[in-house]
Amino acid sequence: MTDPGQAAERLLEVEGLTIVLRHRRRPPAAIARDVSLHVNAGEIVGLIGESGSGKTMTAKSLIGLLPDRMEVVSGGVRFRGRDLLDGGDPGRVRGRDIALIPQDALHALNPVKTIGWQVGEPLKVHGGWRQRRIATVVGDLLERVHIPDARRRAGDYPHQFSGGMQQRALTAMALSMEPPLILADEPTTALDVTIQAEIIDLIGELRDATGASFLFISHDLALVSSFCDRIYVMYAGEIVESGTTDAIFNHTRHPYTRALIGAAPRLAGNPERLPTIPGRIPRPHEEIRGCRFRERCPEAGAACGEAPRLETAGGNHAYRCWYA
Amino acid sequence: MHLTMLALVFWRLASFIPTLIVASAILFVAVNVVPGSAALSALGIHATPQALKRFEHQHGLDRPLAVQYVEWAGKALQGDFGTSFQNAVPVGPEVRKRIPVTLQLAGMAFVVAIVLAIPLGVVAGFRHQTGADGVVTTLATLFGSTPNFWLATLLIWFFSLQLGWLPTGGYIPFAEDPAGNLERMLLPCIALGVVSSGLLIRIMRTAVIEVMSSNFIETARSKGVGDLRLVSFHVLRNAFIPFFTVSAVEFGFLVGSVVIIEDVFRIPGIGSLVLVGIINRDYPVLLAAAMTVTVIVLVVNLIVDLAAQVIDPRQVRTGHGS
Repeated sequence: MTDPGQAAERLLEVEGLTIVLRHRRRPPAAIARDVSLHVNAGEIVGLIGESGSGKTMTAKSLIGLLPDRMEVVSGGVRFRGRDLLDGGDPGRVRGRDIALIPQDALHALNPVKTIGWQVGEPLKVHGGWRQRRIATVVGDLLERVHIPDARRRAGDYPHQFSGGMQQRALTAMALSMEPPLILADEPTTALDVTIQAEIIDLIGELRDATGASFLFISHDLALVSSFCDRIYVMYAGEIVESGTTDAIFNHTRHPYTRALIGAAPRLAGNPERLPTIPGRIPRPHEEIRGCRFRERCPEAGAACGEAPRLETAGGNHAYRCWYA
Repeated sequence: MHLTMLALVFWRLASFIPTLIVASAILFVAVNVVPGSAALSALGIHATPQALKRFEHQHGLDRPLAVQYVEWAGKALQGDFGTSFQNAVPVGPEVRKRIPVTLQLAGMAFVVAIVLAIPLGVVAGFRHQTGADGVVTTLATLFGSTPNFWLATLLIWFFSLQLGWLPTGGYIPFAEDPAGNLERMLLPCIALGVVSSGLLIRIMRTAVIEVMSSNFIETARSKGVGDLRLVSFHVLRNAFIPFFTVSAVEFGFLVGSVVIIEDVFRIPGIGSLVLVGIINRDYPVLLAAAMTVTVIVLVVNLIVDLAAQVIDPRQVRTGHGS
């Protein structure tokens, strides 16, 4: 679990990805800056950061789902050695090679189509399958994500499913084409804590059963630590620290990562006040000289006026800080 | 599902009763408040005061309004709408004869409006903030702000008088001569439908933009669904829910415009009867015709509401759920 080793197949490789938001009056603002990350076959990789850190847009850019005014201006995305940013139709990859489990389960399903129809849609789009065969597979998929009475409930509409069941259905949908890589975009944020745990268990279970890789996007470092093999921590559009879960937690280098670990609510300690990181994340268009975390950093010093580069601390562990 | 649908139809039909009572009462008062005298209209300006008095007494017009209303309503409930002040012809059969004419005109015009609104609204909404959207939005404003009688006159001038392709007006029942019927109905339906489509295009466009911004659209895209499939399977049905609801209201306006269009094209429908009723102060004719229009609008609203129910599964309760 700690280090899958270099022998594992490189499934996804993102190299120096920069995404900008175009603006009518202002110059374009970077949403993601020079982001490099990779996912090996069979790995669960966490991409962690506060809202506004650019993690979701980084994931969406991989399957060509950036909003209208955003675009990738430099960098490369290779999936199994194939260039995904070559301007070809991203529709071929979506759902078939890379699937998405969307954020906000309660609004991610079409209210006027049955669960079964929606779960089976990728099969229709990519496989041109017949309806009867799809129905069988959909039943199996829903069973696999533990929907009770799956075959009958496939005929239900989303409003007849609870939030947790909708998220399970969305997970089943992502699995339908047996894609090698699944992007899970905060799949548990809209759900109760107990349901969150069930979804997390389910994802681990599915990785073991199908061998699929997951890029798990979350703002909750504590949550992903329980099941991710490796973690990337993102701040204001940049990867600030990356490494195995063990390295991130037990040999933390970056002050931001340390703050994130500290910000996780715990049962022990002072329950009156939840620890927070002071200040706010800079907006994409704000000009910042030097380290982007400097203003909120308790450990900032004279060197921070110059932007730090990503340093390697041995193995997979890398960090972006002068004082680490 | 069928049980709840039936219950819904039942309650909506029951709600027609207070609506009809209020509508007829307002109409009754309005008709009597308007200046002008039924007796004078029927007998002409040279009638003696005694003759006018006699006429009013004969038709019960000298009694209190409430009494007149109750008597009228009681008879109307039994299907008796009285006789015309002008020629003593029973009003009921005359109205019944004209219902299919107006239904055909309003129905076909409504179809024209919807057939224009759906594709144009979808194009504009789907290609939001592009040139296509600009063209459609401009067209919609143009259509919606055109007076229908002016458009009707323009159509007659161009297609009938200049090109000579279509008759300038008149009516032939469809059963007698389908081609003759349709070529006379075409221009009035276009005049009514195009003007009505102005609002409907914009409603459809807004509905599509709204649906396109929903999260489930991104879910569909993430599955590899292409534009055509996205619009036909994910956008349309969701956009129809608000569209149909508003189009029912628009149908009410459309039926209101029928009055003028029937007059311009000399179509013997309910609308022209309303006009005759107003001009002649022929209360029985006016009341019967106007109430018929009210019932048509109510029934169409009910049908459209039911259609919206069928489209939106959230509106219909089923056996299980969680």
